[in-house]
Amino acid sequence: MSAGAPRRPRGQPIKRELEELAAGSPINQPPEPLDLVHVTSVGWGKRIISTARIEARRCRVFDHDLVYAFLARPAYRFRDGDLKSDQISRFPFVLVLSPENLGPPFHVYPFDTGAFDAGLYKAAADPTIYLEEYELPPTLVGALQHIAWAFGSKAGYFEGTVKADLAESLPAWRTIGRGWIDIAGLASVGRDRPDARAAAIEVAYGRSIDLKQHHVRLVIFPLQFIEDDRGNNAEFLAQLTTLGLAYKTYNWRPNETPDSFMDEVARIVREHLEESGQL
Amino acid sequence: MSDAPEELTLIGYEKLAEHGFALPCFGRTVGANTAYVARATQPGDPLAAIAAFDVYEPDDMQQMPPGKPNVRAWIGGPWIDVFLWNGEVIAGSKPEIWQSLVSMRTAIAVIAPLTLLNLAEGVPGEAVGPLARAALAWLEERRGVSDARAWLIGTYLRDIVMRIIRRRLGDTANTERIRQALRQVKLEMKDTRLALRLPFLLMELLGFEADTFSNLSKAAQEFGMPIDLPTRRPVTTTPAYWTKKLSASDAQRKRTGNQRGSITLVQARHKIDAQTYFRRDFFGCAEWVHETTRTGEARESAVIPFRVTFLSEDLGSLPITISYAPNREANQTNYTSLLHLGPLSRRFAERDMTGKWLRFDRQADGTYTLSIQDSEPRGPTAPSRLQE
Repeated sequence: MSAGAPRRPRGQPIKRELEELAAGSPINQPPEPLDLVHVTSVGWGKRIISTARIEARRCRVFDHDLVYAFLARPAYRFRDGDLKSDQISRFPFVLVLSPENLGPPFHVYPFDTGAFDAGLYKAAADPTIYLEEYELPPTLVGALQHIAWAFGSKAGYFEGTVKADLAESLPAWRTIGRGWIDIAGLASVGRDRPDARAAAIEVAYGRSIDLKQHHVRLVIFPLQFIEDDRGNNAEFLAQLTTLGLAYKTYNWRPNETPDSFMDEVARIVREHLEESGQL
Repeated sequence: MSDAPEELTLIGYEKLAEHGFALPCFGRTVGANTAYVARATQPGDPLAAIAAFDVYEPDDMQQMPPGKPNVRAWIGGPWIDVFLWNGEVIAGSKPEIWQSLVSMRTAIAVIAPLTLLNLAEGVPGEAVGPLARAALAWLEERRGVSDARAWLIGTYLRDIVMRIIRRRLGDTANTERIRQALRQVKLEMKDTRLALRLPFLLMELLGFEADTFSNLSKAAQEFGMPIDLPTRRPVTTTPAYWTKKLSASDAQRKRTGNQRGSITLVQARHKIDAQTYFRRDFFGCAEWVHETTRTGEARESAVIPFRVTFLSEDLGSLPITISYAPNREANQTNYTSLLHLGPLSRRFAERDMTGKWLRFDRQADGTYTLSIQDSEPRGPTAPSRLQE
């Protein structure tokens, strides 16, 4: 259930102002899409590897079976269904996916819609703007244009730094553009507790993702999983080999904080994006 | 009154894997329905103590096996771990677990040498070099030379770097700006030498005494790797200073409205154009970044590593944010620049600083000091810019 976040009444037309604003922004030709990052908990991650599939799950916000990822950024989606944010943040497991052969997304939004629906952006969000009005065109090119318009560069997007003069460049009547800038400000490093999800582009797919189809570029999981190749671990390692998945690890320690796990994962993702020429 | 627990009992754990460390879960009593996890004084540091407890919603908590002695954990006390090995659940501080595993260590070294190394790092006086070399050899054999090398540089030695920096910076290492800088720390192999790369902000904050990274050099030597450490680039600038008597508003003692959490940087009898002086002159050499405030306004900010003296107490080097927004002037305020109290907030909350003096000094080598003093600063160490 929504926590009071405004939703569009049925039948009411939508104006996609963010699409309009970003439309003329220059991007490389041909477009060079960024990888997608799907963050889950190690429990679900191991299940994904063993079934070789990221299962589309019922999303309560859109009442549709969806797989969620963020464009290039290792943010995790706010609590949804039975994915518990506590587990994800304490035991992160990350799949970096190539969007190349995934087909068109179901939707693309400029922030985490789960957090919006849960009312986490209430302090910054304009209460008169519906969630649906923030939607970007459901294409990866549209997402790249949003990055060019809003962040100026892919590196700026990765750090969540909105262009300094963006708000001043918008007339007052561009309420959706200004509304999004306010929400994205929640991700600014100048804040005490920035929320990276507020400026991370959410990409949802309306079908499960088959790992055998070479969509996975990298898996990131705790270093401890490559040890003790007995029992469950043996199956996990064997399946990684069977699927031919490249992996990197982080050192899991019980006295780390969720923030430091995410920092470590962000560093590894950034390295991957740099090494593959995406950043 | 706060209901936050100060002392709890170990009631269970969540498993990461079948062996090694698990996430310890605490409660007020055995069988309690609210679980907590401990927060470390220095996250990831094997020698960290317990700083606080946070409520935690376990997904699949395993209860501590019956018959095990109660393990208590308290704020300021040693970190409590749960270690799993061959169906055994061993709980306690790292040195206690290390002792309990005497008869099993050889077996663990064969199957899980990385975990054994993690444990040993939390045992004061234990030589970890041989364990690290054994872990590298184990990885080379099973995962290949390239993966083993990546672990050595990217995990083992990098962890040592992060530990050194976090210990030096204390709580400020957990602020967003420093976390961003920590993500940019790089340890790279250049030809046959290791090179440590640090972002400018960390270079300034760490100060670089000769032995800052001696533990890293020693650990790298165990693997025959010479290391190039960063050196602070020499900066020369004109010394300057600025002072201000703190108002009730600066001291966060305004009688109405919200406290601002910052001190206005204004002319304060100095011969300066305060609208631009701090951004362009006094802190002009700092790294300024554009950002957007909660209200959507654009501003620039810089984190300045100040050597801080607070009422004669040396607080060491602290990162303090200065922000600059020309639109503040347009909004009919008489300032454009603010010093955000950040790491000084608690001290300002504890004591009314109204009427005390704030002083900044910029030294010739480009470093900054900040002092809060009882009386008007005299005997400038730098040329005075005060109006007659």
